[in-house]
Amino acid sequence: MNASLFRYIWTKTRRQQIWILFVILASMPFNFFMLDLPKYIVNGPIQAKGFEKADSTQHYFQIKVPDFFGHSTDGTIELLHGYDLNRLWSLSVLSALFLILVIVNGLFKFYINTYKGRLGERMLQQLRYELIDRVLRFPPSEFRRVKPAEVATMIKDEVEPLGGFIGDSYVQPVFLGGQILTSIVFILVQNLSLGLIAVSLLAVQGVVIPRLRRKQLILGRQRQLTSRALAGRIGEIIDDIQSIHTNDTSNYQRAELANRLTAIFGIRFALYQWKFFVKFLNNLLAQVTPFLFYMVGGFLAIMGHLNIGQLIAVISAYKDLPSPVKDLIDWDQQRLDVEVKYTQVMEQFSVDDSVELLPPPDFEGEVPHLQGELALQSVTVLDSMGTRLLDGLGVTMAIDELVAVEGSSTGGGETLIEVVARLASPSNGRVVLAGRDLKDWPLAVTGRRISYVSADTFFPQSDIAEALLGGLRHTVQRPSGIVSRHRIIEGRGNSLDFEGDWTDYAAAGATGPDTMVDQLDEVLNIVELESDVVSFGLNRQLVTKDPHVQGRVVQARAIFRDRLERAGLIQLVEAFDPWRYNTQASIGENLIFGTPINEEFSLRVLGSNPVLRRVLAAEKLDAELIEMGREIARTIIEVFEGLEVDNPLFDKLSLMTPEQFPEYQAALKRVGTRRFGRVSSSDEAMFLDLAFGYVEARDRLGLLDRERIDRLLEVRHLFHQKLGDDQQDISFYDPDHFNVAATIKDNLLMGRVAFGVAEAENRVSALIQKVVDDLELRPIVFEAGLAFNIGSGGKRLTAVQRQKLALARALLRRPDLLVAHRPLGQLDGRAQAAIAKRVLARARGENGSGFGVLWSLENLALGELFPRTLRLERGTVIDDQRKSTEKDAQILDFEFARKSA
Amino acid sequence: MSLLKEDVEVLREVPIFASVELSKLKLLAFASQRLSFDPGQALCREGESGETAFVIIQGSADVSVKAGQSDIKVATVGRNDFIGDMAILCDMPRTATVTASDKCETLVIGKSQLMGLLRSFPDMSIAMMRVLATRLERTNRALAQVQRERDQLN
Repeated sequence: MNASLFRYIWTKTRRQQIWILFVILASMPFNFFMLDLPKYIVNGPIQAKGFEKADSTQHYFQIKVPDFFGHSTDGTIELLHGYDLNRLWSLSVLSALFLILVIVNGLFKFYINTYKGRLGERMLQQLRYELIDRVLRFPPSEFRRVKPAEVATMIKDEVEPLGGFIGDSYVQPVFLGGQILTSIVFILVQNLSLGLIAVSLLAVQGVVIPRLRRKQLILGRQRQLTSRALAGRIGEIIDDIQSIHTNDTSNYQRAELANRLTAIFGIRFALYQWKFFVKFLNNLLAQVTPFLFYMVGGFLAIMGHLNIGQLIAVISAYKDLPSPVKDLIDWDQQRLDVEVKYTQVMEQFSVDDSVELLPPPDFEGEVPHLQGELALQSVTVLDSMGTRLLDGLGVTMAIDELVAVEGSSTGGGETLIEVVARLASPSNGRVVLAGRDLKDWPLAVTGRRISYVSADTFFPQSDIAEALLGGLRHTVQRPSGIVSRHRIIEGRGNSLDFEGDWTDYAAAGATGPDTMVDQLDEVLNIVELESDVVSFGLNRQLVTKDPHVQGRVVQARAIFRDRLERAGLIQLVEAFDPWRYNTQASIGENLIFGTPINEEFSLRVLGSNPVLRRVLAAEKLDAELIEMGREIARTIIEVFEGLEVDNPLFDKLSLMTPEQFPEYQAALKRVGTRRFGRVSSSDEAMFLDLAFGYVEARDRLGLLDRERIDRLLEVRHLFHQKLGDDQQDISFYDPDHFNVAATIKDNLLMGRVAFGVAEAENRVSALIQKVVDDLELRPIVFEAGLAFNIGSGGKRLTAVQRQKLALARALLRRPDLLVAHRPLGQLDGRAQAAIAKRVLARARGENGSGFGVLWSLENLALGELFPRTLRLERGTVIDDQRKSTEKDAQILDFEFARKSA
Repeated sequence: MSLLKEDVEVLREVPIFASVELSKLKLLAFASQRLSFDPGQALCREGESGETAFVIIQGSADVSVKAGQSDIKVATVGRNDFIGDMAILCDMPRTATVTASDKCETLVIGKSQLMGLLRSFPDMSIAMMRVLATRLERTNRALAQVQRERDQLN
């Protein structure tokens, strides 16, 4: 990347800049003609100069070029003879010509502006791409000093004005300079003294204003730095939010941020003051010139030295002058501004000369497998403070060997793993991998053949399948064939086809997306995450729209019901029956009797839903339900009156939160003894919502009798008729059909688990799991679970699940070597051992091709599972133990059990 | 009559709550939960930590304690009996296993709900102390009886 913005722009957009310059030059004569024409119109037809007699004509449009060969008598050659026009015709033709010139000039401006805009945006896109590319090429060590939010704000916000400027960088000064020059030449031609006045005032403007603006620049730079730091700080606060809350330091953060905001305000205010002062001065100078024109020009005209046509032409030419001048000064201001920004961004994106940027990961042909040995030869790694993390460490292992690394946290195990994963680089010594220095291997080889997992996990926001496949996306495997917009970015190679399929299925041992599910299932089973995924899946909607699969779920529903009955547990689930009131569901649920798709029908806001309100009114049930809501509110408020908000007695209250108490108290007071129909609609909605939330089996207030239930059922049916069967707002419960909007579990249940029965939830869940297994629905549920959204950074998973997922991702890629640093630290010993055993079995090649493992242990007991154990202390190997490979696996198991006990 | 009112009536018949004001009992009924147990289902298990106490509304349950490998049935509880209070008052594991012997309808009171009520209404604490003292007195008497019988045997 270029250190100078102008050179960067020139090298990238030379041809476009020259073209646009050419267009601008081509537009200038038209501009001049347009300025010149009014003079002819005013002096000619209007003031009747040359048309003194009624039938006199003037000769227009004669075009002559100088005759360099001397054949003609007057030294010119006539190209067009021209026309003789009378006064009215002259006026019409000249005015029409003026109109044409206005349009031509407008079109020129339109073309130039569009072209510049596109050029600028394209360059901005390119510049941003290059910055991101650079971030991706920073060696890992660089990221210790980088704040993510600062980088983001630099790439997103700080280079933004560059885009607007790039189109103008060369063009604007030429364009505006040309305009100014045209106007000045024109004025000078008309009248020398007026021209000189204009020129001298311009000179003052051109010299004084930029000088004044220097201070503005300094302030601008401060503003940029403080804003960037603010972005970085906010990012930090978000990242650190847990410890801010757990340590109760949020007020300190508030104070710090307020302090920063005050500082930024100070800078910005100073900036405004200065900016508007300069503007004031600029306007003043600009306005002095017309004053002189009117004064001096008027004087000259009165004295008869200047004709009025000339004066009007001069003034109208000058009218067009201040704005190009102002624009040119603005351009200069912008130039300084973006140059500063560019320099500052470049400073941030440059690294020390000593730091090597990562080579591009492009690789031609088949990526070779790693075979042979991994050897670390007296490797020393220093941290930034000079502490020896590894101290002349030497060790050799076969690439397919299984090696455990143990030692204290300062032993060096973590650094050893990082060195092999190329996350730390040795300051001394050599790492030889498969006969070649590690740093000479293309990243494409080590990045695909070595899998790395550490105790820290991070996943971008995606779902489980995406998180797992993330490790298989190196280059585009099957190009999309669509020529898309990204192609205008000059990337390295032409492999930026995002629309194509990037997943390397073959590397995971699959042939395509369909067989990939089996591979995902296998690795998730190894890390014991499969059952979690199935549980996620139960609470999600079905992925496929295949009616056959939906049919199977409906079948399973009947079988589940049947088993429930046979187990004598039928009272545990009250099934949804369109003709019966479900006592385990709330009144609202019973009315809409389906899964809301449209937010307007969600249970929280049902009280204000106009369709339902109309149906209730038609059935004359609204008054009754509102009265019911009032009664509930009165009872609850009476019983809970006077208790503190945090009293545990509130925990079991489900109809109302303590925070809602004041709202309902006020509403009760507002409504008073007023009759229905005289209450405001929002109060009605509040009480309706309360009534809609009422579940007879849970709340036990005895508010539903046979008659009322029948009328509620009537409302349900009327409501459904009103909405129609096939509609987009609610997916109705139907015992015989699949409910697309409901989760798989709800589809199997098609009812509500009863309140007030001990262990009901658990017993039902167990039975559902069993039905899913017996009917071989597990793959379908598993697939739905793969689409579970893991949240930003994978935060919707537990720490244990995240670690398991990271290990699964590393295994899915079928590496030649797995390097791991405490990958299962969050798990309990038993789970660690079970998973490690399965990983090692896979590594031995019992299922698929084998691979080597270098594992820095989270638990000493795991060492028993490995045939070789390295013990590290103070950055060097102090013990290298090989166990007899003959040792029976069962003995290992036994020893392990003894040690972990 | 609503179930909730019925719950209040039940609570009133429980000795511990007998002298508590009606409004407080309403509050307690609101904050507690009806739970039914099938015959053979355990209300609580000896040794587990307990977060709830039960008032039996209907049916009966067997109380048993572990003795070596087998369980010895020590008592039967029925309507209006209050069980599980020891574990939540003293923060100790359940001292006995209670198993529904026929279909058992109970009112479940959470530990924090009961403690909250006791803290807010000292009258209730006194009533409860009285009941516990009576129980202790009964236990003392029973113990004296056992000692006497043992002495006679010796």
